[in-house]
Amino acid sequence: MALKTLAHDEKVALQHIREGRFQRSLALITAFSSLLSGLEVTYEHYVGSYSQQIMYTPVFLSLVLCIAGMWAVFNRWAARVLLPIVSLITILDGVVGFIMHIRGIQRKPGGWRIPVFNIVMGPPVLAPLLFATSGFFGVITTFLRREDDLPQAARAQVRSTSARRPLWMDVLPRAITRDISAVEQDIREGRFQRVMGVATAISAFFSGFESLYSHYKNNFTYRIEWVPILLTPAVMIAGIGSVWSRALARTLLPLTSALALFSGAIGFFYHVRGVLRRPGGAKLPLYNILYGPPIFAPLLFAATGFLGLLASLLRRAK
Amino acid sequence: MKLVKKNGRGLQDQMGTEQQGDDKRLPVDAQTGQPLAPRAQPGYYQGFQTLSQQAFWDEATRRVVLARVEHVPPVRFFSAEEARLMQAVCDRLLPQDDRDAAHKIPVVNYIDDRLYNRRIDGYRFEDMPEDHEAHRFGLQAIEAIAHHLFHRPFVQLEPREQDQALQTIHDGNPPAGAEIWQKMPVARFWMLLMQDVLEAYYAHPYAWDEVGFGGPAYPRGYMRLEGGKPEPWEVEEQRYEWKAPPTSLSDEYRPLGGPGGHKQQPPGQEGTH
Repeated sequence: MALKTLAHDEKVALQHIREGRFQRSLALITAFSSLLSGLEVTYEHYVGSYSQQIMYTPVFLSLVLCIAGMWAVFNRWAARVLLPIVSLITILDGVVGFIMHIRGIQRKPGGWRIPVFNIVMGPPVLAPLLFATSGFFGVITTFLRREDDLPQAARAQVRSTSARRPLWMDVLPRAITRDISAVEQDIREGRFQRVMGVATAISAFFSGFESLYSHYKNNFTYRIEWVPILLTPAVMIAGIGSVWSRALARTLLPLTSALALFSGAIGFFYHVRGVLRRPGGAKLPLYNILYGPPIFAPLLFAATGFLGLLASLLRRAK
Repeated sequence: MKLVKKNGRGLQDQMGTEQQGDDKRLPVDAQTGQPLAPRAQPGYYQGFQTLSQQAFWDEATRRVVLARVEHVPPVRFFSAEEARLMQAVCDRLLPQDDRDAAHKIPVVNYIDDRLYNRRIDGYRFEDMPEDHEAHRFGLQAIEAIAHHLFHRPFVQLEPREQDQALQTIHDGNPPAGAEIWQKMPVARFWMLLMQDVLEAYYAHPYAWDEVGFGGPAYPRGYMRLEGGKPEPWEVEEQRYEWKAPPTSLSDEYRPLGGPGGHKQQPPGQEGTH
């Protein structure tokens, strides 16, 4: 009986994803991923001793996005109005951070003339864009339908498209808003597999590149450190390939994504172990988390895998 | 990347070959007991050359370090006789018999240059004469000790005899040169001598290659900060077992004397090398 219920639940969940009716779930995931990247950025910038005021912005924004995501789980207005605003600011902040980090590397002794050393030892160049990923989650969330939307209500909403247009869309030129409306409609109906495939590939690139130079810094002491570096191109090929191929999106994408998700979990375990194995171990938690392996970084790689899995369950635009 | 073509001529090249081909001076293989042939690069870091990384130094650093290899200062302070004696002393204090002729570090030239230009550390102990005088007195005292112990000039002594003569200064009870030791304390002179020899030797990039020092850390620094891992441009340490040459006193066990056991430090730098 219980099994039968479970099977039914699974069927419903998959149906929801196919039809783009998972706003509340994705809002929760947005909140969670924002929390993770917020913790990561908090201690990374603490290591950088918050030498510039702007380094506080991602800390603050991740908290706001986390709250907005949680709120959006329960509240339709939060999901449709608050969440996109916070998410777009988060993405913008990520792009600004990316530029600031490039400038930070340039300002290190030797600058870009010593690229390998300064990328490894300077501010993590792609981390701000990885931070923007949770903002991307938030934007997607906004356009989805809620799990508990009734089919009739949904249809009614489709008819009154203009009524639920966000305010900022009125500011933009019509040609652009028409395109956005089309994309929005696709997302509403769960027809955005291609978008998600590309997002997966980009996110994999950010995350994989981070692990490449971090593990290079550690001289690949453990062979398992090669796993994310080898998985990254596979996930990227699957993600980009799914733009053209439904077959890839249905086979290679979920396979590589599941592996990425799994390896992220394993990596989290190893990073925690790495922190505990440092001199002082758990007796110096703050110090060892700051100077040990970045414990949340593998979970951001796992988030990439999650993105890919989600993409594989979606429908494609017509 | 600029390669260094020619080693600057050190004093050893000019001094003839009285030590060349003397196997008894070479360190020996710990297993076979055979002498280890002199090498261009002794030490555990074969294939690592600090100078190969000079593209990553700034201009001022590059100029300073390359000058140490390419422009060896001439001997101007010591007389020819003193220079020979000083060379013989340095050859025992910091033997370079494991280096081939092209890669010996001209320690005497650098000490001479410092004394000729009256460069000092910025201070002087009040019971010490000026550095250049102290070195001159010291050489006189070493010569006196050699005559007292073995009735021959220091440069003509066997390596082991030379070690024994120097050891008396290290131990703080030289058997000769009393009037010189009234002008400067034995322990202070020993410190001065060892400091100068070590400073000249380990400022040289060839010595860096030997001990695996990665060279100047600016503008590029170090990235592998923990666990003794080599930087990407360095090589893994490759240890081999060796023993000091049979003619050397440096491998012999000498308990630290006097009351107080291990806590008592003898004059000099016991335990630091």
